[in-house]
Parts: sequence; structure tokens; C-alpha cells
Amino acid sequence: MQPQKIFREKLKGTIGRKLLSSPQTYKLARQVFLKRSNFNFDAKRKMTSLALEQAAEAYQGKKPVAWTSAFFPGELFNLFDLVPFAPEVASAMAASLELAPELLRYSEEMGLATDSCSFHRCAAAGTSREYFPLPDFLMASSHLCDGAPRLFQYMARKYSRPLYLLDVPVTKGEEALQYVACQLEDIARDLEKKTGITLHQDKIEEVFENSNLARQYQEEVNRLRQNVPSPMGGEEGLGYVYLSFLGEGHPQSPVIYKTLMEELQERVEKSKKGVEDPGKENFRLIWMHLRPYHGSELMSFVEQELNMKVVMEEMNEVYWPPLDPGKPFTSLARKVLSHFDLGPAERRLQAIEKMVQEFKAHGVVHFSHWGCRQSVGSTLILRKKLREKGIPFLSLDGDCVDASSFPWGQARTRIESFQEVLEQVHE
Amino acid sequence: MQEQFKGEKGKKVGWFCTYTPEEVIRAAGFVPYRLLPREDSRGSTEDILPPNICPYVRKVLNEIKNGDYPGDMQGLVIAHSCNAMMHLYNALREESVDFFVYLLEVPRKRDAGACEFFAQEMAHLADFLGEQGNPVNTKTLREALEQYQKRNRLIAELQEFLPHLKEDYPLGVYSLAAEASTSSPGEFSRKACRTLEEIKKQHQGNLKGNGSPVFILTGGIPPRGLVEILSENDNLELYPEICSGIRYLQKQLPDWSTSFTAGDPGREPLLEKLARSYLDKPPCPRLFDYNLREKFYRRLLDEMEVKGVVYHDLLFCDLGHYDYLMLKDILEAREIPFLKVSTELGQEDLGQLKTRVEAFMEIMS
Repeated sequence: MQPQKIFREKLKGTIGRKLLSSPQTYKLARQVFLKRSNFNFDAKRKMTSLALEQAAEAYQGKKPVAWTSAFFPGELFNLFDLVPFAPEVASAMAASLELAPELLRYSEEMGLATDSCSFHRCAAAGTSREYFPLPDFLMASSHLCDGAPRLFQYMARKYSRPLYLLDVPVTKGEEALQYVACQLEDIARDLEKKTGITLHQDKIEEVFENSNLARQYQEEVNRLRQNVPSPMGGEEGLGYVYLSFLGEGHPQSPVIYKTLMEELQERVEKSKKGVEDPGKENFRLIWMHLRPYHGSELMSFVEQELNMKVVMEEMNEVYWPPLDPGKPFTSLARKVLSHFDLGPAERRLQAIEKMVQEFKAHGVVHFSHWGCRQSVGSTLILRKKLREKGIPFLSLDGDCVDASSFPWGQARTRIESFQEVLEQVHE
Repeated sequence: MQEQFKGEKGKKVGWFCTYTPEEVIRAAGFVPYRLLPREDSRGSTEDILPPNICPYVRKVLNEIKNGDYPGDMQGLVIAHSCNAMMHLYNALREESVDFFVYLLEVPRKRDAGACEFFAQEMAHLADFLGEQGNPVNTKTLREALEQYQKRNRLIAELQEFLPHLKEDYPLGVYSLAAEASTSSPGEFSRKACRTLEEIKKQHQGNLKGNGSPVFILTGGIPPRGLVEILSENDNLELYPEICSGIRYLQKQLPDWSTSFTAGDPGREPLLEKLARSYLDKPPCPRLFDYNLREKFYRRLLDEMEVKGVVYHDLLFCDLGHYDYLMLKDILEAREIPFLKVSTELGQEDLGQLKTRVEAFMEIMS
């Protein structure tokens, strides 16, 4: 039996919550998973090790823990040696461990509307049931999501802990840049007071160096994935989103991306020499948003059964310029404001077109997570615009966390139809 | 369709969120006109917006697509108050509308940095509108501000007499807010003066509000039908703590006449004061300072004799969903009865709602 399956079975009992809240669980899991599990890439093994180490540290409570939402600039945690914990990532984990249905039911009992994002519903329930490590700080950003800041307000109120919210405008320009930069600086100054850590330039340089190196290797990884056939698929690629959530500025992030880059380089070379069969690649796809984490066979069906390889994911796009340690807050603000999903839909459209071109993709699949208004809201406009340019686009309705909101039969039929469209367009 | 719309004749600029500075629109020579969703609108927006987007946005978009807006509409100012408004902006740019669509950034914070940023955004809006209409300078802005100041004073006075103005304002505060947000300040003020004069004459100026027990309607923008159902109760006064009610009417403008006594202060200080007044208006769930919202709710419960609360949980409104969790805690702790109702702002919601609301009103009475 796979170690993941054994772990999952154990969690179904009444001791599940205690197990999840114990740092020992993550230390043990680290030993067992890393030795016994089959990883396609050593980079993934290293990243899993980092994730389990961070979870163990968070539950140990020896260092201050910062809860964070997606897209909050994570370099700040590392500037103050905070252990990051992402409730949204925990929700994905709950889905993979089959704990989500119970948490989603509980969130409904709490009074949270069922049309809210299931990542957030799970996280709210997990907070209320005290599944998570105690936070010392909470940090969330408004950009790309209305729900996360409100969820974090609910959590901060429950724990009476300091909450730092970053208000990110969609307008570009110097004024928006200054507005965000000042907020980041205010947060840093307050963290200095609360942690007793004075922010020194050498620390900024160290953390920004980690962030910039990771960025550089990530760009290389993306360049290697542009090869035909691509050395890595989307199921694997989406796993590295963890680093965008919890690894920004962490010393392990450049190590992991460098390892991945080297492994992809080797695969590309072997493929060119005909030493290794990269597998069939009938069509190349760009993947938008995330994937289901509840054991759905979606990714394997798309990539292995239909041989449509996901060659790039929206979440892995390097959209920001390198950070400048000389202007730390302006630089982080620029990173935040550079996200192509911010503002008018044409920014996202341009990013998709660029990815389609660079990655020689035949089509685009948008996994339309029901509760994500930000992402789903522009899908019809994207479909219309991309179709005008001859780029097939599939918006696949589903839910990343709630398996009951992702009827597989329907999804399968829609993917097969999309494959037929691709065949017609590219025959 | 034009005759369906009330309001002064003149070039109108539509707006949606109560953080939109009407005074700037007015200063450019336009009549600010709030587009509120109508329950009888037909058609669909499913070709441009998915179904899980805010019903207010979908309804308004649908109405615009059908041409159901004032014929003299020159443009729309969309305040980026939430994610759904961004989608409305995107969708409208895809539609072939014959007026301008302007996106106004509105901060979610209230500190000095947020105020400065908002004032800058207002200045950009003023410049843009100035190009479409009249230049927005110190003089035009001050005139507009004075008009709104006068209007707000009259609104405050009218509110005190509302229980006796059922013919003019059948749904009380809700009707008053609807009229004020779709009229020019001058036109509104002229009518308000006449109304006040008459009511004072009829009752020898001795008819102020009686401080009777209230029930609060809060949450997302409600369908008019829900307000009508709630207004049927004669024993309890409805306090609509919603953006088409109190949150719009209680917007306080500073006293400009005493703020700048010497010379021309320039446009920017006025905009800064305006930005501050908007950020200080009764807080809505979009604001990041949740303590403020909580304090606001607690103050309402402390200052009024609140018999119950109806929370309108607008579907697909994340801001409202979490606001409810916080309010629920407060109400449970104070043992105040509350009812959560969810709608998509449609007529179809109301039949089912009526029975639930009536049963709840009985408990409150």
C-alpha cells in the first residue's frame, strides 16, 4: 500500500485532528514519504520535504507563524523568519486527504454561504475546528480575490492576532506603486516592533537573492518546457505552485528550481538523442487556474489517456521583474502589481496569447473553480477573444476542493469534445 | 425607454457604488444617476458573464444591453469596489455601448495613504470628466459640493419626518435614497424644500420621528420586493443598513465654507477632503478595517431599540458572506433574533421569501 493511502486511512478516524495538529506527524511523514514514495523528479522530493518541514515547524510553535493567502508577497515572511502557513494550501491538502467533505459540511453549519470558494470554506471550518497551527500574524492581499481578505478578517477576529491586509489597486502607475509600497513598508515596520527583529540591509539582500535566483531558475524551467515534446506535464507543473505560495524568498526555492531545471535539461537532451521516450504529445495545452485536489482523474485523463500535454500553467508564469534590494518595498509592490490577472481582462488575454505562442500550444483549458469569481468572471470574454484568434478554449466547470461539485462524467465528455475541436482545427 | 427614468433632464453619468464621488461628476456638468437593478428586467448576460457573478452586476449589465438606461446617458463611472465591478467593467467594454466607461479605483483602507491615493484617483476622474463635459476646477467643484451639502442637510431633515411622508416615500429611507441618488442635487433640494414646508405646515412643525423600535435590514443590495415586504409591518420601523439606504444617505461632507476661508485653495485640497469624507462614511463590508464594521454594528444595536435583524445575503457576494458570519456572532451573543435571506435580486425569489419573512416578523412583533 502506498504511504499516502495509509496516512489517509489513519486520518479518517477520530484521531485525525490530533494527528494533523502534531508536528511529529509531519516529521514522520517526511521520513516515510521521502524514502518510499516514487517521485518523477528529485525537485518534487525536495519540495515535498520543504512543505513537510514547514508544516512541522508551524505546528511546533517555536518560531512565530504567519498565516498567508495566495499572492501575498512571501518575501516578507523570510525577512522576519516567520514560518508561513497557508490555509488555502491546507484546504487543498484536506481535499487530497478526503477530509474536505466534513469541513465543507461544517462551514455550512457555521453559516458560510455554499457559493463561497471551497478553499476558503474549508479553511474557515478548519480554523473554527482548530485544525491549524496557532497564528502569530495573519497576512492577506486583496489582489485577485475578494474572499481571502474577508476570510482572514474572520480568522484574525477568532484568534485576536494582528492582521496585515494589502490593498492592491488594479490601476497601474506611480501612484498605485507608492500606495502599495507604503503599505508594505508599514507592515514591515510593525513587524519589526512585534517580532523585535530589526530589518537590516544584508537580510533584505539575502532574501531577495533567494527570490531572484528562484525566479531565474523558474524562467529557465519554463524555457525548457517550451521544447517539443515538453519534458514535463501539467500535473507535475502545478505541484510547484506551492513555492509561489510559501516559498518566495526561502533559501530552498532556488535549490528546488535549479534541481528541476537540471532534470528537465537532462530529459530534453535524452529526448533529442532518442535515449528516452517522452511519451506522445498529440496536443499541447496551456492550463489556467488550478486543478482538482480531491483525487479526480482529470489530469491523468487529459495527459495520459488523451495524450494532450499541459505544457504550461498560468500559475507558473514569471510575470514580475527581478527584485531590487536597494528599493525593497517599491520592488515588492511592483511584483504584486505586475500580475497579469489584475485589472482589465485584456492583460490576462495578452498573457495567454504570449504563453500560447512561446509554448507552441494548440489550445487553452481553464479549470473554472466554481467559487473563484475573479478567475471565472472573465472566461467568456477570453473564450470569445481567443476564438477570434483561432485559439480553442475550454472552460471546464468544476471545483478544486469539493468533489461533489465536479461531476466527472460531464467533464470527461467536454474534454473529449474539446479534443475533437483541436483535431478539427489542427488537422 | 427614456420616459421611464426620473430625474432632471440633462446629460447623465451613471454610477453604481456609493463610494463614487457624485460631487465630481456634478462639477463636470453631469447629473449623477445611480443605476439600481430592476426586478422586471428580462434577458440574459450568460454570453458574457458566468452565472456565479454578482446578480447586481448581471442585472445592470442586462439592462444596459437591453437599452434600459436613461437616453441621455453620457457615460458610466464604475468604482472598483469589488471584483464583480471589475467584471462589469470588462463586460461593458465588450458591449457596443455609445457612452464612455470609466474605472475608478477605490481603496479598501481608510488611513492617510489610502486617502491620498483616493484623492489622486478622484483627480484623474475629474480630469477625465472635465474632458467630456465642463472643466472640474475649484469653482465648479465648490459649487457642486455646496449643492450636495445643502441636499444632505435636507435629507437629514426629511429622515426625521419620514414616518409621515408615506405618499412621497412609501418605502421610507429606501425610497428617499433611490430618489436622491437618481436626481440632480438642485432638483432634489427644490422638491425636498416644498415637501418639508408642507409637512411642517400641516402638522405645525411638531411631528418628528418617534424613536420607535426598529428592525434592521442589512447585507447586500436587496431587491425592492424584499424592502416592500419588510415595510408592510406598521409596528416596527425599518432601518435599511444597506448601500441603497442608510449607507448612501449618511454620507457626510465636511463644511467647505469654513475649511478654506482665504483665497483659492486649489482643487486638490478639496478632493482630499472629499476623499476623506467618502472613506469615513458608514462602513461597508468591502472595507478592510473589520473592527470598524463590527463597531458600527454594535453602535447601531446600542443606540436603537433593535427588535430583530434581516440579513440579505446576496448570492455570489463574498464580502457579504463573511460580513454575515461576524454579525451572526454579535447577534447571538445579544440574543437578538435574526433571519438570513438569500436572493439573486429576482422576482422569483420573493414568493418563497414572503412566508419566511412574515413568520420572522411575527416573532419580532
